[in-house]
Order: sequence, then structure tokens, then C-alpha cells
Amino acid sequence: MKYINILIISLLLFSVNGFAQSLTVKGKVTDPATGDPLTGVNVIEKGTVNGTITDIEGNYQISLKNAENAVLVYSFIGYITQEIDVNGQSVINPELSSDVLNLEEVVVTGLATNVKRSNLANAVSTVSSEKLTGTTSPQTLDKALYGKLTGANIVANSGAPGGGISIKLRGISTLGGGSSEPLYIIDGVYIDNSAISNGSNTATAASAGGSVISSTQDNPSNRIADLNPDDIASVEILKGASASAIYGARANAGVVIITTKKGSDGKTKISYSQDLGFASILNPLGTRAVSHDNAFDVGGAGAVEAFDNALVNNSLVNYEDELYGNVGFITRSNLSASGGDDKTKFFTSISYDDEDGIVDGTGFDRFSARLNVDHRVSKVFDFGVNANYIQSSAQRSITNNDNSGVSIGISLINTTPWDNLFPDADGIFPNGPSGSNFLQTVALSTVNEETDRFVLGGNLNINFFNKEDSYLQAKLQAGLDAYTTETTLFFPEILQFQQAGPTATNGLFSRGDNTIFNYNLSAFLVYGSKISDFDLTTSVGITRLDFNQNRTTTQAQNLVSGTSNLSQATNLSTFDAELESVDVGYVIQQELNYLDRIILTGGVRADQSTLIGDEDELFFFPKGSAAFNLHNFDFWNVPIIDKLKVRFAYGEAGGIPVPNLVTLNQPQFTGFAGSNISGSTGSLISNTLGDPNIEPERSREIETGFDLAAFDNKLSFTATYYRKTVDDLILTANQPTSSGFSFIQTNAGELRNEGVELSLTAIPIQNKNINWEVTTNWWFNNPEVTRLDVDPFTTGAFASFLGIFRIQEGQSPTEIVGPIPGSDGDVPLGDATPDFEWSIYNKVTFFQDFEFSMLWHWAEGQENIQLTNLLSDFGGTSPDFDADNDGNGVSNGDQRVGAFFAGNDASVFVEDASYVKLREISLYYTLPSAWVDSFSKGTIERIKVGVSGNNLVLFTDYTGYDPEVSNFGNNGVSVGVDVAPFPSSRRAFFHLKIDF
Amino acid sequence: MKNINNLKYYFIILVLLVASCNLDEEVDPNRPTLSSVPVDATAATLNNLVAGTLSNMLTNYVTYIDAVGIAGREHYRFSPADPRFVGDLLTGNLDNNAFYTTNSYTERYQVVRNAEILIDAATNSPFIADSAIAGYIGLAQTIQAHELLIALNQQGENGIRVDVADFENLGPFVSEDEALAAISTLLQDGFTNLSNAGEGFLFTLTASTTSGFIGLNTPETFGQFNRALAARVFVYRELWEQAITAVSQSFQSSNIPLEFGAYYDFEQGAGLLQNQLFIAPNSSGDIRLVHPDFLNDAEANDARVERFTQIRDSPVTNTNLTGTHDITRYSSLNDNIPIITNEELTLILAEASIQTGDFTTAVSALNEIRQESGGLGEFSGPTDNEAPLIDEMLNQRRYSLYFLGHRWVDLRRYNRLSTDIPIDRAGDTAYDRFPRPLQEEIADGTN
Repeated sequence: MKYINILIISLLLFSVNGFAQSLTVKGKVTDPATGDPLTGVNVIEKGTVNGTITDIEGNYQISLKNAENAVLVYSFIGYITQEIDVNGQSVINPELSSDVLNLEEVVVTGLATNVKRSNLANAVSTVSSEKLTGTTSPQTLDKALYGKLTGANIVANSGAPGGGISIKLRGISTLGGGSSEPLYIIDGVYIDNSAISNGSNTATAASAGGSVISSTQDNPSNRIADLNPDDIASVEILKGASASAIYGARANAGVVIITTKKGSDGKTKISYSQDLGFASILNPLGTRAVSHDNAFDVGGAGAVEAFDNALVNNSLVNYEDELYGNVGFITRSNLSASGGDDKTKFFTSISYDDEDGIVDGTGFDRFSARLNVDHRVSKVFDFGVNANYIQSSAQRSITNNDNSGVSIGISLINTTPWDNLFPDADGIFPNGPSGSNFLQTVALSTVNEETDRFVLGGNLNINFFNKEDSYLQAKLQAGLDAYTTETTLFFPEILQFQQAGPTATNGLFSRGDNTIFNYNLSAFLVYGSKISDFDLTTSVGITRLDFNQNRTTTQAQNLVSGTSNLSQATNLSTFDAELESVDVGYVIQQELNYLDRIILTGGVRADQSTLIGDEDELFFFPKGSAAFNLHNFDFWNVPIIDKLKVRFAYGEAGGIPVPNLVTLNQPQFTGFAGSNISGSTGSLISNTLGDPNIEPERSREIETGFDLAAFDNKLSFTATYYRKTVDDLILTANQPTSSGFSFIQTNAGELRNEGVELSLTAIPIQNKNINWEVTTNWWFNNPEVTRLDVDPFTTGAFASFLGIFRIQEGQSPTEIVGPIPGSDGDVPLGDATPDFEWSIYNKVTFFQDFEFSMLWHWAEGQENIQLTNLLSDFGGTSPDFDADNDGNGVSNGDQRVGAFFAGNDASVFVEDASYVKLREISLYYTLPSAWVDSFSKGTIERIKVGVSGNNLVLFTDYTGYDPEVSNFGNNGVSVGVDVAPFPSSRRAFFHLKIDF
Repeated sequence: MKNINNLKYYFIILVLLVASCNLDEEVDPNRPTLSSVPVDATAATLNNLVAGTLSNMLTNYVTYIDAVGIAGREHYRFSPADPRFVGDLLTGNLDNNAFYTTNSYTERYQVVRNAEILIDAATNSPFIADSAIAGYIGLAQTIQAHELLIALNQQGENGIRVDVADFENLGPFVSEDEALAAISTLLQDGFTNLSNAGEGFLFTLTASTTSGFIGLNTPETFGQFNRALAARVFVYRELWEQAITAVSQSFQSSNIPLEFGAYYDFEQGAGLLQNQLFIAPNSSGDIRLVHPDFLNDAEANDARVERFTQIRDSPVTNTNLTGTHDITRYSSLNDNIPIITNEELTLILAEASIQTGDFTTAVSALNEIRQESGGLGEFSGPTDNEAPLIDEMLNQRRYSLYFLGHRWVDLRRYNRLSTDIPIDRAGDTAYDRFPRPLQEEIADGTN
């Protein structure tokens, strides 16, 4: 609150200049690390509205109102605020240390108010632009967050280009009935993060025998991938209900608040950056060593002869390399400009990313254009507009589960080195021996998704009055997120799997048109007042969210040869789903700040939504928090420790009953499906009973911890404990089938996440030559199902004899179970939740021109359900087929196949998936400014060059391509199910950045 | 300052605008729902429910035929994807949550539920005449009875739930005898309603030429179908006189083809179900084969063996079971599957007649079957004695109703499972029922 006051006061100062007083102080403000002067530093006489800012040379001059006992406050974004007793001095030259520990950072916590990090009562993780994209070039925003915050379990669903990331904050918050992913808000606009199926299920038959067009198994991108990470100034993550309560019924899984870059007044800055890079497979698995002796085991009858011939002809092929061996070229260009004056500020950028995948024909590209403008009309009005247009497309091929030999990954593992899949001189591909010829699939198929998206945000602030001891402000905000995603599949009739096989339809052409139109409105009144030593801020407001989706996919079969047109076919089938929802929320929040010593916040949000059974019922989500800055109390007298804050927070948030990810059917309804016979159109009651009284899931979280800064703010340590229960979990429970229903969706359980998050940042060395910053994060989450009103059930995978997740009271909801020989039923075999995660970030700047940084990420103790090996065993090709890991005299391959057929040992499919990854590493060099100056005759301010890598190194015992994998995409419980995924890649870059 | 004060009002108005957006009652944008359909239903809505009810009778019926067909040793199914066809279903070591136990059962009750919604919606419809309402209800009750009977056939002495009208308060499990009695009552109620349903239905059962109810699509003729089912239930209940009456009220006649009757309309096409009992002869992989005893026990030159089976190019062996013949009862994925036909009714007439001592009628009916269906001569055994006639009747049922799911039920009715079920391998058994489905056990508190 105090910060807001300072901000407002400093704004006023642009027009209020100088009061004739007795003493004038002047000086120059500099950065001690570089010696450079700091421009635009606020210099304020404490306790007054008297102040000024430093000029371009860092100089300032201020006439004091009250020469006696005057204290000057020097503040500047990104630097630690300093207070200096004037004590009669007329020249003061302060050195402001850069705020590496982010103590001064402003954090958005309310819907209309901010708070300085040092006054925050929650452990809100913030990832700055520098940390987000400063090291390397992440493909998407979500991929840029790995290891950079505590309490988050971030898992890539596959290595396919362009998104597909699951983020779980403080454990899972739903068993599938609510949203499993956090809410994303960018500059006040609620961002849709749907993953839209492309309809390839018709070809792969991964789900329901291919009888449905849309499924969760076709590896879609989630649409947060559209955002250009380079536009982002900071990302704040409200991890649990205690911080996110004010966001109400959709905030159960946390809230990710993204702020894009803004201009600042002064010289217009233009930056151009160009990255060139390469992607290649991170972790090739190889294939089974074949020889004359084992060829029969691998390929059966005829294989020995085929092997011998291939050996003679030197035509044994490494098909993994043929399929995944592509080196993808990556180019990323970004041009941005920012600037403004005291009334208008702008930031604009244009970027184009183009990235090829490790499979021929796959890739991701994104064009993004942005304009952010902030304008101060008068003392009363100011407004801002953020406009972003994005066009992105991804070609992700067909991977993952498959029951028809179509998926390229499945075909690959059924192919032996002596098979010939290469086209002949006429370009005709031979048929693959088992599964469709994947070289043909890759060469001739089209799998494309293309998105056109507008994200528009606008805000208007009205300052009704702004006095020394009080102010009243209205904040109005509107946001729009509108996009269309067009999915295209084209499997021409000459493809092997279109000619023969379970899903052969003599050609398939599919076009999906998905329109998403979301908008949000909010209006808040903020009243601030100062009563003696207390700063009070009251905000009341109302929000409205309108989310609309229309998804249609039309598929044509039996195509006229060579055409890709829906009207050139004999069979058409259509998928159509629609969603309309409206949420309205009412908010009231009161903040109280006693001299930055005690900061109390209380508030409540009431929400209603059409997705809830009774759309008129209000659901209340209260919160309360307290932070105590012990170092600001008079009694504090510990010289080493600069800051010590203890904090407590409690809050509740909701998980709105989400529609089915594919059909968009809402759990409050019991619907009828179309079911036709004998030329008549029919309605058949669903086998799943909806609950007309369905309520949101509700999480209640307590969080407590302390933040400590010591050794002249060169070290900070944050420790947080949380305990989050999620009650009223929406579950699909079994019904007695004689009711005509097999399942019922209802509020019927509770789970608990408990965890600790530790974060340590230190600056061990800081001098003119070397600046070394290190941050290490360590966290764990311990989930447990604490109440289950229905019978224990399994979910999230294929079958218990292959390993499956079991929801059972007293156990972890991500527990993997299955039978083992001699067991009576299923026994626990693992858990998809890591025991802990640990990341270490190092950044060393030496000789001011070189910058080296490195981010390691370790996730320990989670297990995956690894079925790729089993599928490879069926093809006789698994790399470890002949090894005998458990030394029982039966080879791994035979053991797994045996376990499959006997159905009595799932333990062979459950595998430790711990890993250590080098997420990011980089080295940058800034060219000597004198040289750049003379070379460019002053037009270029700075040239920076560098090299970096993304996911360069992986250490793991896991036998799949990547321990990060999810066949079922983003899903509450189901992660780590490995079914022939798209392998992940390592990416390396060369960077050039020019500032004008 | 004055301007600013005005602004405050604008702001308040704006807030009210946002706040005054009362939320509309949400309706499902994708589907009709249980909260909308039964209210003020029009004939079109009711007709959709009729088609939905009929269509789901097909779902997993194939699984039922596999389960009881393998239990009755009519056929084998060799499936690379599922070893339980040659495992559990022959050993009798049955799982209460496996597909063969639950799949058909679940769908049968889903049909019952859909029909119940139809009854509810028709009863409360303000738009249609009482006779038309009776038509809907009569159809719904007839179908419900049939579906309950299929569920009961598999459950045998376990019994089933018959009172399921209120899905939140399901009735108890009742014994097999009580269930059969309840099914008879339901059929009688349906018949009464059909009798009051006037000249025609408001819905059409025969919109397509492949419909399964051609000739049975009016209240009167659908009533004959109802009586046909009633006759089947009466012989199961050993109420022979009523069975004979019901047969007489049904479409049974020696003047119409034996194939005449009600059928499941399987069809290829988007959203339709294919007859997956058809597998092309000499296929490999997932196949069904004739049980060798069906061939071995057949009378020479029985045309039904010719019709229903075909020798393979080469025999197939799986887990010590060998089959030499494919099943050719169906010749395409579009073929309809019988629900009940004149042939079965004629056999029911024979059975009830034997049991009531009317051997003349019985022999005449059996000979009609032998000649017309089997291409055989007249029955040559003693015709004045119940026991050989019963044997002959069961034998004719075995061959005429092959692959229709009757053999196992017939042997159970006549307590012949232990003697007449061939045991192919050590460890295989004859069993008389499938376990009660797990989800029912949980709901019943017995597990």
C-alpha cells in the first residue's frame, strides 16, 4: 500500500515542482556494480510529497521542506530502496544495489491492488523476464518455467514441437472433475489453455476402437503455447488457495499472472534479437542387437534369411535414426521497441519463431505482434491497452497410443533392421511388415494445427481524488481472448494404413474448426487512507467471465484419389461440441499496513457460475493473512540479518466443475447420446449420471513461513510450509448397473497436499569483476486422499495388470498399483509424485561483459507406467530385450511379454522416472561499448552475442525416451504413462541481440 | 470537481450493469438431458426415445452370444487380444468384473432405463392421445421385459433386480423364479397397453428396409411379438398351458416362413452397429469356430449344419482346442440377428405340447422344423413317449437355434448341463450362471 502511495505521489510530482525551502541537497545516484549512473530514480523526502527524479546523468537536486530530521528515500525499480538521514549534508551520492533478491518487487495479489514483495504474506513465486528468457530460448511460456519456482511439478507430455505441458502447483487439486491446470491471466485477460484434439483417433483407434473422432490421446498442444515468452516482463505464480482465493471458483489449481513488458519514459529503445539453433533427439534408445542367432526370435519365420541377406548387402538400417534423426533448424527473430514520455508509454514487438522437429515434417512456428500502450489523460484518468495477435501452427505427427499400427512410434518399434521401408525409384513405398510404413506416413501425411488468436486487454483507471491521506480510485478492466484453431489431417488413400488395417478407409481427410471466444470484465473501487500509522486499503469489485467454445471436426473417408476436400468423399462424419459459461464474482478485500511492520489482509470472494448445478447459488471463498516484518520493529537489533518476515495465510478457492475435455459435456447434466437404428434417429440416455446439484471443488489452504535477508541483502532464504485440502472432489463413482447408469459424477471426496518449499538466493561474490548469483530451490509435495465417499477405483491408464492409478482413502492419489505374482489383487507399485524436486540456478557475470548461467533441475522418486518397452517387446525390438535386469534367468523382453499374457505382474511396467536435467545453459558476451560506438557511429547502444542450450543433458535410469511423458495429455491424475511418445529433443542456439 | 462527481455515478451505473447480469438457467448446449426430455415431450421426442431404446438392444448383444455360446459349447472364440475366451469362459473360473459378466448386463439395464424414461415422458406428455401413449408404453414394457430376460438368462439362479423404475431406490434382487414371474407380468401389462393402442403407432419401426420389425410394426402385430416373448418366458416357467395360449396369440404359424420374426437390425454406417458375429470364413486372428460336438452330434445331411458352418482351409488350434469349421450363420456385417422367430415359436409349441401330453401337435411341429429347417425326414423315434420327444425337441432347438444363445439355457432348464456339456480339457467345467456383476455386489452391500 505504501508503495502505491509513493507511486501516486511520485506521479503527482511531475507537475508539482519545487517548494522554496531552506536546504537543498544534490548528488548523483550510481550502481555500485557497474559504476553507471542511474536515471529516473525517485528521490523523496520521507513523510512528505516532496520529491524529484534523477536525470540522465544520475544527478538530482532537491529542496527540503523540513531540513531538520529530513530523511531522503531513493527508490528505483529493480534496485533496493535506500533511506539516508540528511543530517545537514548538502551533497549525497548514494549507491543503489540491484535488487537481486527481488525484495522491492511489486506483486499483484488482489484483483485491483499490489503489494511489495517484502510485505507479502504468501510465498508467491515470481519469474522475471531475465530468468524466463534471459538464458536460452524456450519454445513456449510453460516450457520456460521448469525449475524456476518452488512447489510446481511441470511435466512435458511429449517432445513434439509446440507445447503440451502440464503444470501442477502444490500437487494435484482435482481428480479430474475440476481443472487440473492453473488459471492463466495475462495483463488482466483470462487466457484459454485448452488442448484441442485433432481427430486422429479415427486413424489410430487409440480410444474406443476409433469410433470417436476426438480423444485425449492424440497429443494436442495446449494453447498457452501461443504466447510469445519474449513479451513477458514477469510471471507470478499464486500456488495455492491462500494466495489465489481472491480469484475464486476457478483458482483451485493456482493462478499464473503474466505481465507483459511496458514502455518507460525517456529515450526510445529498440532491440533486435536473432537466435539460430538446432534441435536433435535428446536420448536415442537404440534397438535390440540383432544377429544371425537371434533373428528368428526377433522376427520369426523368414527373419534369419532376411537378416543374412541384409548383412551381406549391408542394408541393415537404424530406423530410429531414420525416423527421429532429423536435425531441426530453429530460427527466432524478435524486434521490439519501447519508450514514451510522461503521458504516454508504449511497448511494441514483432516476433517470428520457426522450429523444425526431429521428425521430418514436424515443427512449430509462431508469429506474434504486440502493442502495449499506457496513457495518462489527466490526473483523473489513465488507461492502458494491450493488444496481441498471434498466428501459430504446429505439426506434431502421430505418436502415442494406437491400436491400428498407424502411430509412427508404434510402427517403429515393430520394425526390424532388415526390413525395407524406403521408397523405390518411382517413389512408391513398400508396405511395412507390422504396422504401417512410418517413413511413408511421415512423408505423405499431413497433421497440422493452426491458430489465429487475438488477445486484447484494456484498463481504465479513474482517480476520483488523491489527497495526502486518502485516495479513491476506480479500476475498470476488460479482456478478450478469441481464437480459432484449425486442425487438418490428411491421410491419402495410398498410405498403407488407409489401404489395409483396422482403420483403413481408403483415405481420410479431416478438418477441425474450433472457435474459442472468452471475455472478462471487472470493475473495482479502491479506497486508500492513512490513519496515524496505519495505511488502509479497501477494494470492492465485481468480475464477470464469459467462456464460449465451439468445436467441430468433420472427417471424410473414401476420398477421391489424391484429393483433400470434404466434398470429394463418400463418408462424412462429424464431431460437434459447444460450451457456454458465465461466471460472476463479487470481491471485497481489506488491507492494513502498520508501518510496514504488520501487514494484515482479509477478504472474501463470492462466485456463481452456470457450470455449477445451481447457477444462482453464491459460493464464498474467504481469505486472511498476516505478515510481520520483524526487522522493522524498534526492538530488532540483529546486525547480520537485514530482514526477517514471518507470515501466515489462509484461503479458500474453488475448482469449478469442468466440462469433459473432449466432449465438453458438463457434469451437472445427464445427457442423451444420439443412437440410431433402422433409419430412425434415436436418443439414448448416457451411462453417466450427472449431478444437478454439483458444487465446485473447494480447497482450503494454510500456509506459513518466513523470509530472511542477511549479509547486506546478499543472501535471502525463504521457507514455506503449506497444507492444502481439496474437499468436495468431483468424482466419477460407480453406480449399480441395474439402475441403467454405470457411473455418477458427484462431489464425493477429499484430498490433501502437504509440502515444504525452500528457496535460497545468494550473491557470494559481487565486485567490479565478478558478480555471482546463485539460487537453489528445493520442494516436495505429499498428497493423500483423506476421504472417499465412493469405493476405491482405478483410473488414468489402461488396465491394472499394466499398472494403473488407484484412488483410495489413506493413499496417495497418484499411487500406481497392479498385481504382482502371488499377490491378492493389486498392490502399490509406485507413485507418480516425485519425492522432491531440486533446482540450482547460477549466473556469473565476469568483467562485466561475460555472462554465464546454468539451470539444473532434479526430480527424484516418481514412477512412470512404461508401456513402450512392452510394445517394443511385441515387435521383438526393445533395446534391453535380451538383458536380464532382475537376474531371474528370464530376459527382460520375455518377462514383460509373459507378464502381459499372464496378467499377473504389473511391476515390470512401473519404472523409476527420476532424472536430472540441464534445463538451460548459456554464455553471453557484450561487445565493448567503445568499439560498438565507433563502429556504429553512435547508432547502436549495445551488441550482445551468446550461445545457449536447452535440455542439453539428461541423467536418468529410465528406459524410455524421456521420463517426462504423458500419453493422456493434461490430466488430473494420469501422468507418466509412456506409450511410444514423440521423443524429446535437445536444443542449442546462437544468439545475437542488438539494442539501438 | 463536479465532473468527477458525475463520473462516480457513471461508475456505479457500470457496476450495476455488470452485476445485473442474472445468470440464465444453463441448458446443455450439446444434448437433450434428463431434466428436459421427460417434460412436455412431443411425439418427435418420444420417437427419438423409441429409436434410442431399440438401438441399444444391439449394444454388446454380441458379447452375450459369445458368453452363453461358449458356456453352452456351441462355439469357441480364439482372440489374440483376449485369452479369457479360451480361459475363463471354458474353465468356469469367472470374474465378476470381466466383460463377459458385465458388458451385456449393463447395456440391458440401460435399455430398461431408456424405456422407463420413455414411459415417463409419454405418460406426462400433454400433446398426444391416450391410445398413442398406450402404444409407447406397450412397446417400452415389451422391450424392458425382453432385456430383463436376457440379463436373467446369464445370471440364472442369482436372480436379478426387476424393480428398477426409480434409479435412486432400486428394488431388491429377486430369485430367478420371481424374476421370471415379474417379466411375465411386465409382458402382460405391455400386451394390455398395446391392445389399447389403437390402429397405429405414432412412431415408425420400419423406416428402413432392413428394419427388424417388418410385419410387426403396428400395435396389433407388435402385440404378437409381445406374446411370442411371453411364450418363451412361460416355457422357462414351465407354465405350459399359458405358453400354448401365448403362442396362439403370437405370429406363430405353419403358413409363414420359419425365419419370420423380430430381429436386431445390424448395419454398417456412421453411428450404427455392425453384426460382429460375422467373421469372414478362413480369417486369421480373432475368429470363432464351431464346437466339434455340434458337427459330431448332427444327423447326417442336416441342412442347418450346411447353413451355419463351413469347413476351413486348415484347422486352427489354440490352447489344446481345435476347430475345423467357421460359423456362417451370418454372411455379412449387415445381417440382422434374430430376437425371436416363427422357428423358435414352433419349437416352443412342440415343447409345451409334449409337456401337456399333446404329442400329436408336438410331433407335427417337430417334423415341420426337421423338414423345413433341417431338410430331414420325419422324426423316426417313438412318438408316444415324453422322454424321447423331449430329447428330440432339445436336439431340434440345438440345431435350429444354433448360435442364438439358447443351448446353454435349455440344458440348464432340463438339468442337463452336467451331462450334456462336453468337457474339452482337464480343468474346464460346466457352469450354470455368471457371477453377479461387481458393481451390483458393491451396491447390494454383499461385497
